Amino acid sequence: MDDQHTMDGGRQPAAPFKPSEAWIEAFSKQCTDELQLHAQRYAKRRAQHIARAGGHPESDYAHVLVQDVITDTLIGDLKWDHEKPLIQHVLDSIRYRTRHDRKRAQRYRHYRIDAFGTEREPASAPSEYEASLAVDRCDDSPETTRGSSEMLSVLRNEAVGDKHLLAFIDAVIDGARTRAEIMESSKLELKQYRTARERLQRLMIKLDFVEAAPRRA
Amino acid sequence: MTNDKKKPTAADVLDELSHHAALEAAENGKSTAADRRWSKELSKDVQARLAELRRGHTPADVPTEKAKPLRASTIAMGREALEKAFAALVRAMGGGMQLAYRNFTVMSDDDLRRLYDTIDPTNHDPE
Repeated sequence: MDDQHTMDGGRQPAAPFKPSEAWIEAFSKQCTDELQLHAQRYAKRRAQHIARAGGHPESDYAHVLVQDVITDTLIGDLKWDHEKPLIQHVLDSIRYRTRHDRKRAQRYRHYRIDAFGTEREPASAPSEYEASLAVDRCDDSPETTRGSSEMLSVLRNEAVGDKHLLAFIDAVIDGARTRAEIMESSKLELKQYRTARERLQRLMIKLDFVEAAPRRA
Repeated sequence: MTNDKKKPTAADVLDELSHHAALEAAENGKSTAADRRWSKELSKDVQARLAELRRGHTPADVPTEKAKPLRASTIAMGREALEKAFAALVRAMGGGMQLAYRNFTVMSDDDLRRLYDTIDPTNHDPE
């Protein structure tokens, strides 16, 4: 992080985080209850993504994760550029951390996952998010790769018959990531894109249930 | 667009689809009463931390300016003379001055001398 090395090889704590007044005002204005609830709903769905990989997120995982991201930003461990929307920073950070937890869950199946227990890179800024993809790829074992392929195949099979949802999934398989890219690649109109995304969410909830059922037994 | 990109792995695709499903939940999902209570509590913690950060912008050491010594002529004035001189000074300023004091009778002689010297325009050093 920002720790500084001393002459004798020890570490001394970094200078206290002192953001500008503009940063404080921007954070204060944007960190509303609604933002927190928005992020919590996002984190809750992402927690299902971890469960699907074999992990067992604690029941308060989403709450703790959002709180963690906001606190880490307020103490300067997570860097936020206040010229950009806070919600984007929070969602990116949650995405980064849940991906990390999913990888961990794949490695250590049935290991309990809580938002505190993860050995994360302390300054896991959104800018590192892209780089993490490459690292994640290297970490994939043949077993996890096979598991992901099977899961994707199930998802795609379930979507057959819903041409818009299938086009959405195929666009992502083809490398599209943002809404604009997915719409361009799939030739979906905005309304069709939204409907497809809603159906995708419902399908993933359904598959979560089917996937999770044997583990509960 | 996508032609320039490396083909994503199955894990990447699942992560991306999970992200979009989570965005859908975030934008159109509902929160429970317990979630709203949690958010209220979190907001209190956030406000406390922001207040702490704001205090970091308040100068810890405000330089204090030492008051000039009172003039010998002011020190020599008794209470009655002082009040008269003060009243004359305020009149001469023609209402162009506002004082925070409401009751001059409770001001000590020294405080009144200090006030008199402070507001007397003839007592200011040329800059």
